[in-house]
Amino acid sequence: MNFRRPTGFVVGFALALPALLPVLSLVAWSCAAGSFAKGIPSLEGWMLLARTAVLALGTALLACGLGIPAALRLLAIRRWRFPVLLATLLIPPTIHGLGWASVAAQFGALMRTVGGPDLVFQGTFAALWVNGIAFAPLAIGLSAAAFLQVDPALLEAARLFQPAPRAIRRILLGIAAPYLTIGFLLIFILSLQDFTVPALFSVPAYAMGIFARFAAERDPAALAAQALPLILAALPLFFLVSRAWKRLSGNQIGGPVQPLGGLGLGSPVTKLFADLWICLPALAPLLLLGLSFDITRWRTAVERALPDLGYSLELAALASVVAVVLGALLARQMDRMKRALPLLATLCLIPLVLPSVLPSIGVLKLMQILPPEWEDAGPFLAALCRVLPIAAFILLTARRRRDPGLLDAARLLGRSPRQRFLRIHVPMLVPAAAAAMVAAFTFTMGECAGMILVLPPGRSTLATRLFNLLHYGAGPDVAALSTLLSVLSGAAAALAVWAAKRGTRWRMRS
Amino acid sequence: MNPTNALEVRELHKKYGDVTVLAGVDLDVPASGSIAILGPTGCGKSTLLRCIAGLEEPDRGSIRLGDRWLWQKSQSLQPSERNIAMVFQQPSLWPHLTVRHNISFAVSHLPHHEATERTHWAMNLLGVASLAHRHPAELSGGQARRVALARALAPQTPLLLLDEPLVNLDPDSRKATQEAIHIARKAHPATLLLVTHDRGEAEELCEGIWPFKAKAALNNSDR
Amino acid sequence: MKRFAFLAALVPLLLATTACRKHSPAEVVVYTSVDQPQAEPVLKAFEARTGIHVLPVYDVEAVKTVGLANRIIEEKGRPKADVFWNGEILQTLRLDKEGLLEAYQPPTAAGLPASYLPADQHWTAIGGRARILLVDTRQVTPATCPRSIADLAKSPIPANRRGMAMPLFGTALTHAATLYTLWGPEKAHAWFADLKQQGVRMLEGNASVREAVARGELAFGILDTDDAEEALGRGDSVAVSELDGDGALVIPGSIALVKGSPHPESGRVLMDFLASPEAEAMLGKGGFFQVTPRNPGTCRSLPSGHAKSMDVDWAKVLEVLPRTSEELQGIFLK
Repeated sequence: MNFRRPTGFVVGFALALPALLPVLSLVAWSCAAGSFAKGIPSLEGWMLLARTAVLALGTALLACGLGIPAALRLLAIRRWRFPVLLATLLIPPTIHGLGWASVAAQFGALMRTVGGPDLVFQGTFAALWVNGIAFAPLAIGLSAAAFLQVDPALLEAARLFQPAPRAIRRILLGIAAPYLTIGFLLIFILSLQDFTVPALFSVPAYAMGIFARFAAERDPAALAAQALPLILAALPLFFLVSRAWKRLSGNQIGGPVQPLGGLGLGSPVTKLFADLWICLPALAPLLLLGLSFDITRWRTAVERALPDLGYSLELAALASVVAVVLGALLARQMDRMKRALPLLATLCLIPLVLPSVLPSIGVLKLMQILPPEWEDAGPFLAALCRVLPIAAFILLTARRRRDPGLLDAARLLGRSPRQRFLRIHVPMLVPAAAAAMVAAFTFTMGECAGMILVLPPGRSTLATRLFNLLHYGAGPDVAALSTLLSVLSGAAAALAVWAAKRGTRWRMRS
Repeated sequence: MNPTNALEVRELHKKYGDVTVLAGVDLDVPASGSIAILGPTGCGKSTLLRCIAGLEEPDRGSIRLGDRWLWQKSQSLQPSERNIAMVFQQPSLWPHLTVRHNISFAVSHLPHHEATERTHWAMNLLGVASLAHRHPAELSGGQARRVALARALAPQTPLLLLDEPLVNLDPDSRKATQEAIHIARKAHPATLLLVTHDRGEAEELCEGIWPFKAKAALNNSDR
Repeated sequence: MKRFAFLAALVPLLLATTACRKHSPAEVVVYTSVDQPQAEPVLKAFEARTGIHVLPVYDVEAVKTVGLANRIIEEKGRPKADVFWNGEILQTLRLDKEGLLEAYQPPTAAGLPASYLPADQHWTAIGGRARILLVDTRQVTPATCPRSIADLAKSPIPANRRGMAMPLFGTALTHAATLYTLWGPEKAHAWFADLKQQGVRMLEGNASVREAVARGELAFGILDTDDAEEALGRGDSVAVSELDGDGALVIPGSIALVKGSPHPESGRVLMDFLASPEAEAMLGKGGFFQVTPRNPGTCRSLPSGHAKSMDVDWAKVLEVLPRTSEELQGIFLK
């Protein structure tokens, strides 16, 4: 099925429609009512955005700075610890914040008793530290996925000439750069739109203004205008991702997915340091959860949350499956596009960059048109509009790095397009599809603020229940649900690793 | 024997799970000499090369280059500390770097001017200077091999390991690469250890041939 | 092409697995910003009593109680909610102003103060929480103990040990808008600007203020009585300061019937239950409401001295809300 160039963008746009519809709906509604001018930020607003972007940049740097060595270490030890250590992926940043604040308070009290300085854990440093640690598991997961894509022979060739640290820096990181850049961009975007952690440590954040407007008045146009600069802030980084895609094009760097054993990270001290890095994201939540361990209340909390758990799993599974299937088609179309690719990719970026309540308002508007029986489609659409671009970007990166020789061979030797698709194309994309599915699954499971607007009556998700409980501090109920979320994300990561390995074997057998 | 680049392997053992791949291999390659290890695919000859390069850890035995122990029970040098270059079955060029950067990475530990000099020397020697700014994806199979060879020669190591360097090449590229290896050896007379399953290739490139017996000891007596 | 057809068919198929849900004949949809752990037992009791199946949608702290009010506004063409059960009052008044509420006053509301029962019967106030000062007893002495909300700006305790929730959302915003109404915009603006200039800590929410006081990070902070109850219940080293002057601001909860709702009859039955002294007692006992007009009792977070509450015209507060938010964004978000 070959699309001619003029229709390429149209087809791509049609495939991206589930992600774009809520935004289009929001724009249509904004144009019909309200005033854009009111939401355009003042000079102070732009300054705040700049500071928020710097904080988000710092968060992404810290998370990736933690995530990359930790991922290297995890891949070198090649054990079940990999999925287990990713279990902190779904713990909300707020819990990390409360945990670190608690640790800092204990330390401060200790300092006061010995006559030390009066330490208060607040401000930009505290927000940066907590956000960086909270996003580190995501960085670890994405970095590990990136490194698994690199042919180990290339790293071996480098290790002959240069010591392991330099080989890793110049060769492994260089080859994995496109994936790492996507991970960096994702963390930057998530950090840019989050205000809960900065607020916890008294740091103003740009997204806080959007929520404040949402709370105080109902002017959709002003709300959209105020959110628009977030897209501008994310564009420079997105430009980097686009460049990485271009560089990938046609590069024959495909290889079997296999653990990077024997990396030789260096001395035992370096290894210990990397191990500490791995454990750091789990430290504060574990401390907080451990302090409030109460088996009876844990059991009650989990029993009460079971219906929410079922619904969350159903929703996340559905959204991630559809996101990966549609994302694969969208990535295929994007891969064929040339000049129109940046435009379509930027459009797809919008629902990701906007705070989740805004696309959800768009979905809410759409739901007014759909028949009432379709009310369950609301949360699905709200989730899909954010996870489809993620899946498409991951799969596009994977497509770009496939060995064209293998595809040509398949075209020459494959008996039918169907056989070619099922036995060559699909297995080659399985590791990336698994990574995309985990990302989509965890995103949907963790989504909260946007979901409130679209959840059908009688339904609630695990994340909404957890946030409801957070109002009462990090007690046993919060501890129980956080643990449940951790088990789920650990299981999802384990499943992804298993799927990636199975996919590779399948691919090799094919 | 102890000239600085003579290779000595003693009683080398390597198992993968229950499968014995190397069972007490002994091997001597004289300084600046060239030996081809001949054997069918999958017999373990590449594993021997990887053990010498430090990419695999032997179970027991010893490996010495000149007066330096590369590996024995009590000590093991990292691959980059062994001062060995290797050309793999596949060119294994780093896709994100240009030809020039692929070669210069191998000498990036040297002072800048020396590294630049060596890079140019290797590129000119193998005739790839005109490809300096291309990425590996833009090279033909033969060109990629020559670049891989230039990368291996640039550090001017005392030992050069070649793992089936001519496999999958068309006759013209094969001939060009063979010539390149000869030129390279003339310019820098390193000890050469070649692994191949092709007797013609072994005879063309090396002074001596040792047939490699699967899972058995490789001794001088096999010569 | 067949492949695409197959995939295109897959999406609606998967959607259909979740989209088809049976609704029971007697049911009621309630949108509530009352915390889920507090609201759930009340709704379960209602179900047990009446047999009417309740389909709740809960708001969360992350959207600061406005999510559901905004949702009702967006759904006005085809309302889904029968009852809006609000933990505070302003968002209910906002819905009333938009003309989205149906007149109904539950007979069970008898005995509530007159200010809880508007003449147009578009909503009914129930119970309430108060804005109070929680102090860390390890840090605050009788000499330094704050006695008024205004002491947040004027205290011998260092500014970075005083705090409140960022007054851009939730009850903190309601409180700020009330001060704008009572003190006048100029004075209130100057007061908040003074807080910012001094470096008084503005935290993410009332729960954060409570935790900061409990941990000793703050010597005192302004928060809601339900937050204080939690800390007092845990046995933290905290106490509620007796307020003099204007007294405490009491923010009542509220219930309202949504206009054009799908199950108005069931909605009225639910409203009758929520307005009853029984539900008030349940919410009081659960710790959500500390102001319970028909169930007077001693409340740890609302000592007798707080019985006096600020005299507030909520309609005016609603009017001044956008201006308050905009001005406070100008102060705190820079």
